[in-house]
Amino acid sequence: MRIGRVGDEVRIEFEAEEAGLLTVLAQQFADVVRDPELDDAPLLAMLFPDAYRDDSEAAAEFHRYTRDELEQRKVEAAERVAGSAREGVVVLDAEAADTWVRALTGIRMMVGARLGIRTDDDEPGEGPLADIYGWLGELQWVLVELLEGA
Amino acid sequence: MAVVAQLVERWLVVPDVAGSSPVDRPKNHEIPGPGSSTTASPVLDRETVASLDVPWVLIVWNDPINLMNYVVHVFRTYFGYSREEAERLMLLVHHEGRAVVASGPREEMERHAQAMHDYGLTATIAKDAP
Repeated sequence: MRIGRVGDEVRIEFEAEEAGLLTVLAQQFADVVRDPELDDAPLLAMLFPDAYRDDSEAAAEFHRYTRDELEQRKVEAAERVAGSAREGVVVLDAEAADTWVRALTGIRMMVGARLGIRTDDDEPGEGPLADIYGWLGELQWVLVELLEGA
Repeated sequence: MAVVAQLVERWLVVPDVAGSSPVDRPKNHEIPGPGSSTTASPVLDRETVASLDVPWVLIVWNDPINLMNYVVHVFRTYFGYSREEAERLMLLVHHEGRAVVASGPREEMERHAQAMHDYGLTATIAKDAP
């Protein structure tokens, strides 16, 4: 993978397996948000946190008003990543790049939850999933650096 | 917050192309920021604003997933904070576990909270401590 910035556009050159991986993960994320299972409770708590810590009624009310829209935007962002990640050069305008970094946070939360990362002290450990987690973090980090004009 | 080592620079390629200077850095217009609410401000004079009880704050909490530069990016693009202020708030979140990043009427704080959740940040609303 190579990433660079040309004018207002970010260009990412993906290997086939990188693009395939990102597409699968983004689709998995959209599926989990749309149709979560019992095991996904820790992830959902991160994706849709309570907005009030000392007022469960207000927290429930906030969820009622915001959950659908938040779900929809997270799914849409992930689907945009899944729809545009491909082998070779992917060109993202500023708006698309911002959608990508937003989607990457959700995808990293999904992978991080599977790795049992709950606090800053939890390490991803070793193995394929930990490697994927590290790779996603690097991709997001560099995308943000480019957006910030570094 | 998670920290990614600078080793990522090994595949960071920034083409040396005219027009790629930071001045041309694109702005994010996807999510309405606080600035979008200024359309309502002309009807509120300074005294009216001062008389409003604004005892609500928006708190952003540390989490183990979000990257430090992403949190700065969100604070800058959404709230319009300077880089210095955005970094100061990010470090507060990182070291203290949380930081108050905005204050104002409850409805406004709820809008901000939803936006933070959209970005994947853990944000809560609370009454400002007296």
